[in-house]
Amino acid sequence: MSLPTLLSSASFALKRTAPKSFRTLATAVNTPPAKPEQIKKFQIYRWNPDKPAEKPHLQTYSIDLSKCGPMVLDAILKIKNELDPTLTFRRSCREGICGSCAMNIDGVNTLACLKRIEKDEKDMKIYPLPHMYIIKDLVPDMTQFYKQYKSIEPYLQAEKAPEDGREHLQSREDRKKLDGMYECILCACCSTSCPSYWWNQDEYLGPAVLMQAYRWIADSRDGKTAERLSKLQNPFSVYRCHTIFNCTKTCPKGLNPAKAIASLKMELSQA
Amino acid sequence: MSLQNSSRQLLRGQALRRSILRPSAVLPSRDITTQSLTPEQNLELLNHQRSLRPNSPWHIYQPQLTSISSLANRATGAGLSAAFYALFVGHLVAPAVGIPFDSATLVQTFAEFPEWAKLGTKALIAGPASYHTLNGLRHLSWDTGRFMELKTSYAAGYAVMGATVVSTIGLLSL
Repeated sequence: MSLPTLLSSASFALKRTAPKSFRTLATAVNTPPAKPEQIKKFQIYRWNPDKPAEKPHLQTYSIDLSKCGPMVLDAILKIKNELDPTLTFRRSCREGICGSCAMNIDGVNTLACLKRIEKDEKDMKIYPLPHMYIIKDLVPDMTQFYKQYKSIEPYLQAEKAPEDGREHLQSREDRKKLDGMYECILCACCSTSCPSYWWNQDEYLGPAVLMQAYRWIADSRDGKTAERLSKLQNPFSVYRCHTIFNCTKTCPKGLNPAKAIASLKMELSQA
Repeated sequence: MSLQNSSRQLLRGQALRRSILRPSAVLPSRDITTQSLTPEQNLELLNHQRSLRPNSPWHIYQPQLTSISSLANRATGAGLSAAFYALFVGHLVAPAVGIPFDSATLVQTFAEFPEWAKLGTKALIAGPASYHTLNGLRHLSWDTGRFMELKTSYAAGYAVMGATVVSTIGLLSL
């Protein structure tokens, strides 16, 4: 039972027994002053697959920020719960670890759950991840992205069984090489911020997948380094990267895919 | 088992409340119908839906220093190449059609330009050439693994822009 409910039931009990002039608990408790209303408008990309002929458009919703959580995900959940249940988006963990709520907010890709609502007068614009096929509203089709991830065989392929029969060991230095890469949650913010990925999505693997490709090449326990490199040795898989750096700029986890791709290019040049 | 199933059905807000009030209505009626599809029909439907899906806009992406400097590198490179090609092809073709386009004529034409047009023409070549050359150095250092953090990459970007201004002014004052 919440505190206000407890207090009101307690005051109810007091009122029934106490004399009229008695000061009740309810009047003694200072209720916090109501926050001033602060309206913020959200313009959100809409497209409904049931009416495919209708062009995608922006729909505007007004939210009172004094009655809403601090993050953009709080606002769009509030819109879905209270204003428009047809608004469609992906979300799960609400704490930046699942990568589901990746979208383009005010022109930059990020996770809605990690992005604070700016408390200014400007309308907030929310689009799906750029240059992706849209299933509905803010939900992009990730099939190609996941296929590309699968193509780099993102799992350990050791040459021989572990010496102690239990686990593959590596030195602390070798383990350190994986820091900044294994934390990737595959939200696709970086790949869909990359102009090269926009134009060559069919053949260029994109920053997220390339960083994971390098994550397994850099792993001292993996024995398939040469095969992994030779698969990438072609004009499109890696070399459409022109070090634009949009990927690193936008990564909501603060990782550096551009650097991983540069290291990958150096490995390729020496292979 | 069936009890478990129906109680799971009931555990849905309104349905639960309604069935408590009216125990006879165990299963709420729903106006949604489903349709069973074979795997082939399923794929056909998916492909049909895919053919209708719009591509989300990319031009709404906020311009970044990173992307603008990359775009400028491409544009200056392409622009300078086009200008030089035009010059070479002009040299080759113009005399054949009877238009004088040799170096002496070009120098004379340029010398007759008013001062602002002289400066403008020089700036049009010196600016892009400076930027493309200096940003090329930034690219070379990237390829050797330098300036690969976001901060250092930005610093190198600002350095290239500053150096471009200095170099352009220097070239103009020649």
